[in-house]
Amino acid sequence: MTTLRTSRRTFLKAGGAGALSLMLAARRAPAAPEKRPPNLLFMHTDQQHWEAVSAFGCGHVRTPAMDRLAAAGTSFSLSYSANPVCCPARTCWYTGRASSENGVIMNDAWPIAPDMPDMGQWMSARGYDSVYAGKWHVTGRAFTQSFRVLTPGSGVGEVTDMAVSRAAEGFLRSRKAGGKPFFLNLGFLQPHDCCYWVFEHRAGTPLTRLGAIPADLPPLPPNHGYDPNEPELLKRRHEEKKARGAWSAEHWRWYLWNYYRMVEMADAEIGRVLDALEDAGLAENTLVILTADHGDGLARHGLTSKMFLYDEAARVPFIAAWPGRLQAGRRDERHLVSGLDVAPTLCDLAGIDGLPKARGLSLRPLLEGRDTAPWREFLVSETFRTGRMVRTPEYKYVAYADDPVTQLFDMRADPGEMRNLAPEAAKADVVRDLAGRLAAWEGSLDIFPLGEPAPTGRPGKRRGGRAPA
Amino acid sequence: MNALPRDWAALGPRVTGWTPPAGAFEPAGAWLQEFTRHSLIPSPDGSAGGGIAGALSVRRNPSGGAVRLEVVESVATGSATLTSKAGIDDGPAPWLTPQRWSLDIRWDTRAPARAEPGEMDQQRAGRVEGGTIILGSAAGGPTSVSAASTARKEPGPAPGPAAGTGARERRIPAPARWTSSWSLFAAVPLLPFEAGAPLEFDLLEDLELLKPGQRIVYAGRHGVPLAGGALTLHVFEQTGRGVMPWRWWLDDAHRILLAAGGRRAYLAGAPARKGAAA
Repeated sequence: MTTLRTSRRTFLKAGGAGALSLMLAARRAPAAPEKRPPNLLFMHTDQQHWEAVSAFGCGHVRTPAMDRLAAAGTSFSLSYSANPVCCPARTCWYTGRASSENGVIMNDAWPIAPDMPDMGQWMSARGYDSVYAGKWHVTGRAFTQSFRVLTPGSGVGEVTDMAVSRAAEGFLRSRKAGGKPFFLNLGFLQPHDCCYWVFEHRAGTPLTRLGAIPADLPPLPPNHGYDPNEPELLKRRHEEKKARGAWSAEHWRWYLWNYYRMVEMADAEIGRVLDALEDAGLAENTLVILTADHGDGLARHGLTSKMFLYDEAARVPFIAAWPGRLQAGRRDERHLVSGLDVAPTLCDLAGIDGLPKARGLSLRPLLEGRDTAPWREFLVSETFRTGRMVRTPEYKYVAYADDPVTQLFDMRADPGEMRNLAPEAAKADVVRDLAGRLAAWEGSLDIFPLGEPAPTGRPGKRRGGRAPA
Repeated sequence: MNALPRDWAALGPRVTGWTPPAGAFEPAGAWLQEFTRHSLIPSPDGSAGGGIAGALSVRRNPSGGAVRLEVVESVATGSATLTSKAGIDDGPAPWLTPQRWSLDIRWDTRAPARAEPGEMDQQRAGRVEGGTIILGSAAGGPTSVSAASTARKEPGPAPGPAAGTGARERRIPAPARWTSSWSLFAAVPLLPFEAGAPLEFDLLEDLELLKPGQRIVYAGRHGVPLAGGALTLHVFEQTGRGVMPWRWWLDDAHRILLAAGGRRAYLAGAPARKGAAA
């Protein structure tokens, strides 16, 4: 078993006045709980690879705001989306229920179970000013049913994200003492604009540059290649990619370079929000959570985008900070964390009852440094309703309905998921054990029956419409 | 075959019928340039989008060795329009580094947005003192929020002072060479059309977000075969942290006709008077 590692390096690398002020706030703040409920700031990026944070060691990107948050709180290395595509991941956050239970199993198709409460409604009913800015994307429920909306998202990060952070900045700077506690949700779109980059770079399309190639193009990752015996869903992804035209190595590397710039764009907007939070004197009584709905293929396994269960899509950054109340500067590399944990964590730290039948766990004991507390031995992520992944600290097992090809990876020896151990006789016991855990988990689901797909997932949006999700 | 360079092709039908501004232009003189702001959203099949999503106007007034810029930018995001008005006293060329500025941010929201009137409006200000960029509220106010914001009604307990130290100033060490994203619209026309080593600077985007490691380089002349007639324009390409590769397209008079990169473009020409957003 690995040990929880508190990373001083994280703090030192983050540096800067912001990190320092948050740390000083942590030292000044009283240890005893305050009577006033905390404010809650839940920020999410869209399609951010779990490693795309400079504090986590990525040398291709510079994310001072995320680094600063990591220095002020706890970041979880083994954090997974409950369903690595936009609508399902988000619905899981806000309902605390698995996709098969909340009904949103894919983008812009089946709507959320109509009577299932979401976090906006839940917190509003418990005295919070539930506020939203940016991308929502929960099929079948307008966010005005759940939140006071400051500004919606537009589908383009380069347009929307600045507006989201400006809205949040204005909101935070204008808060009055003694008002309701807020539950502010910010849906940033970057680095999701990488989907448009992919659309734009089809076979034969010249690279979008006229000048010299930057000298710092990231190299192709070691797991850029892929196993030709992957499950059918992945084979189809590769075939679709080939049909659009194969990219050269230079295309891939230019994609990576651009992707990291998009992450930096999101980071800058997050920094604006953190600045406003501090300037308004709100940082000491605000729990901040930052995560992403899913990752991006990022050239690993020859893939971009999401909707598969390799770590590139399924694993996401997750940082939680509350100066003076929660552990600061910690990098937890041991505990498995799910997007389903967001709602239970927010409710627990806000001191209110949790959403009914929520499947996730409150991260509170881990965030408070009680890391000897019992914790889950495995987690499950879904993709659509047919693909499921069981992750333990050591292994990942992936199975798709009606597909004889399963996958088993030794995540410690093979973090790039390049060697499928499932066919190996020596691993038959492991496969059997994980398949059994998955079956037990599936048997515990309160599955929401799917009706006809929703005619529209978003106003004016056809199913399968042009905007990537 | 469409031989339009990407930045122009990405505007799709928006460049059909577009005519470039004509007449004399003195980059170092007094001028007003207006742009329509476009979202460059391609379809999965790669075809262009290019819808109008706002407007930008930059008025340049030289004053001695310095420059005063008056900037208005509106950004339409679904049911909200964000308008930023900036007055910037810039230093000398080449970077026109801001020395003192004010920034007024106003929101116009429509359903489904439900922000309270003025809730998100702000009046910001900044200045440079002794190698430090100082960001804060506009002078004269106890907090950084606008009068409209402080006047808003909030449910719950009676409004009081802002929750904390909203008037706190934020200090950033000033980089050796830096400018603002809006000042670039006045600085780039002053650059020579000469190939050479990239010029390096840091960017203060929106007069607030510092994005280091910018490099701008002259990328030569490139043909732009528009339906209404072919243009040959000078291009500067800019890359750096936190921005998509960005290209500035200038005519022989050094007038910016298009600034584009990523999913955003500014095309010279006044927006329709009935409104910038479409």
